[in-house]
Amino acid sequence: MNAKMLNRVLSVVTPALLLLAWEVASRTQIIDFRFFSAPSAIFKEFVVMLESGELLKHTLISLQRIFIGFTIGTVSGVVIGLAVGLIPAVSAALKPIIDATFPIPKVGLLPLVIIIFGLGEASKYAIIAIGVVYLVIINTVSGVRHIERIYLDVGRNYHASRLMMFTDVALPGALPMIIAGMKISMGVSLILIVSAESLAAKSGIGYLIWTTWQVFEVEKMYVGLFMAAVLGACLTALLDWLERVMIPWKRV
Amino acid sequence: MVRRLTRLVGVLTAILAAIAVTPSRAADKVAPTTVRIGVIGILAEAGLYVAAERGYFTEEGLNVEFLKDMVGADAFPGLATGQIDGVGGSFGPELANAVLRGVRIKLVAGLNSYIPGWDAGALTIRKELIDNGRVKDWKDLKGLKIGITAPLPNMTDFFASRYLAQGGLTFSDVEFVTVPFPNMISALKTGGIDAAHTSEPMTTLAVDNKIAVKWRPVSTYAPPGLTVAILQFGPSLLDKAPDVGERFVTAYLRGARYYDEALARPDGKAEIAPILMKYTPLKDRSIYDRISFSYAPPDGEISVTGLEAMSTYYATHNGPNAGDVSKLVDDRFQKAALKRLGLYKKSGG
Repeated sequence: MNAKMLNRVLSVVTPALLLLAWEVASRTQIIDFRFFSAPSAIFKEFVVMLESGELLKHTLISLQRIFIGFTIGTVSGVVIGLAVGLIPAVSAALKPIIDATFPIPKVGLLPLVIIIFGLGEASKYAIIAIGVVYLVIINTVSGVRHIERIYLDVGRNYHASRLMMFTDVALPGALPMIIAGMKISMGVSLILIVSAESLAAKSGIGYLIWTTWQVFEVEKMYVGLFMAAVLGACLTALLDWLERVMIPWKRV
Repeated sequence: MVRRLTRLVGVLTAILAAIAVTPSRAADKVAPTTVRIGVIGILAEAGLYVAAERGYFTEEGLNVEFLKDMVGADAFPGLATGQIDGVGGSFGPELANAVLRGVRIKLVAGLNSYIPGWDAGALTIRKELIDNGRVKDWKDLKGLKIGITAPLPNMTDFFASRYLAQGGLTFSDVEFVTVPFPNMISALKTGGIDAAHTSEPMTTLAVDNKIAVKWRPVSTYAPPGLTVAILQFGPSLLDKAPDVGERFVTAYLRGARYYDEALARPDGKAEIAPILMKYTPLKDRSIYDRISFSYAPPDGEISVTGLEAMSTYYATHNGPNAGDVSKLVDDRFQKAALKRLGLYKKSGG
C-alpha cells in the first residue's frame, strides 16, 4: 500500500472508528446516552427527518443564505482588497478602519445588524457578508502585495489601463490568496449563519439545532449538528474544486 | 459545703440540660450546605427571593446560589450530573422529553399559580384594535396575529388554544407569529402581532406605553389554579440529600407565606419591591405599584389537573406524551415542610 492509498484509507477509517467508539460508549452507558445519543439513534432520526422533508427545508434555506451572503462578501472583499492593495490613497483611507474593526467578533454585531436590516432575510445575508468581507479583503491585499514586482512593472511598461492592472495583473496574481481567504471565510459563514438562525429566524440549520435543544429533542439536535458538518464539508469541497479550476497553475 | 455542692450540681445540670435541648446550636456551627438553583430571574419566583432575603435558607443551614437563566434544557445536564440541585420553571415539552429520556427530575412545590385576583398573566391586545371596536368579544379574535414565544407546542400556544376556544375558535382562525417574550412589546407596537398572552411586568409596560390593553386576565382562560412555575429537584436532592431538599422547601414556603402576608398589608409592596428589584431585571420601583403580583402558593401546592391539561395539549399537538403526570410530582418535600410549618393560615384571615 503506497502512502497515498494509506492516507485515503485513514481518512475513511478514522471517522468510522470514532463513530463506532461513540456507539459502543453510548450503548454501554460509558457516556450519558440521554445527552450523547448513539449514532444509530441519530441516523434513525436523520432518515425520519429526511423523509418528512423537514431536514431538506432547513438545509436549503441555510444554503441560500450562505450563498447570497458569501457572494456579496466575496465580491465586495475582492474589489476593496484590490483597491487597497494597488492604490496607496485607498489603502491609507481604509486600512486603519479595516484593521480596527476586524477583531470585533461578528456574532456580537448581530443585534446591530438586526436593527439595521430587520428580522428578515437581509440581516442573515448581511451578517455573513460582514464576516466574509474582512477575510477576503485581508487575503486579497496580501495577495496583491506578494505579486512579484516584475509583473506589475511589465503591466505599467506596456501602458496597461488601471482596469487592466486590476483584472489582468492584480486579480490573477492575488487569486491563490483570495481563494485561501474564501476557504477560511466559508467556515466563518457557517458559524455565523448557525448563530444568526439561532437568535432570529424561523428556519435554517441553526434554528433547527436551537429549537430542538430548547424542547430537549436530542437526536434532532444532533441531526442539525451533523447537517452543519455536512454543509461545511460539501462547501469546502466546492471551493477546492473552484481552486483547481481557477488556478490550475497552482496545482500541487 | 453540701449547699455549695448542691448548687454546683444544679448549675452543671442546668448547663447539661441547656446543651441537650439545643442540639441545633451545634449544627449551626457546621458549614452551610450549598444548594444551587437555576432560575429565570422573574417575578413568578418571588417566594424564593423573599426566603433568601429574609434569611430563611440560612436558618435551615443552607447557602443558596441562584443560577440565572439556567433553566429548561440548559439545566438538564447540570441537574443530571448534580452540578445543579434544582430549578424553577414551567411544565413544557422539554421537561416531558427529559423525563421520557430518563433524566431524573421531579416537581416538588409550586412557585406560582394562576388564581383569580392574582392575574400576573393576561391576554393583551393591541390598543388600536380595542379603540376602533375591532375586538369586543372572544369571537373577535378571529383573523388576528397571535404572538407565541416558541414553535408549537409550547406554553403560550397552550394558552392560545384556551382563549381561542372561548370564542369557539381554533388555530386555523388565527395567524401565529413566533416572538420571544422580550420582543413582544415592540411586536405589539409595530403591529407585528395583534394579541398575546403576556405576563408581568410586560403587560403593565405595554399598557403604560398605550401600546396594548390588558384585555382578559389569565384566570378567565387558564385551567383553574394552574401552577405555571414549579420548583423542580434533580437527583442530588431527590436521592442523595433529601433532608436538604426538605429544609430547602421549608424555607421556600416560609418565604412564600411571608410574601403573601406582606402583600396583604398596605405597606407590603414597599417591602417586597426592593427584594424583587434585587433579583429580577425590573429595577423601576414605581412599576411595582401598578403590576399584578404573582401568586406564590403558601403551601406549595401543585395543580395536577392543570398539568394534565397541558400534557394532553402537548401530546395532541405533535409534542411528547408525558403519560401520567401525577408521577412527575414528588410531594415528599412539601409534606415534610408542611409537617413542620402546618397548613397556612393567613393572619387575620
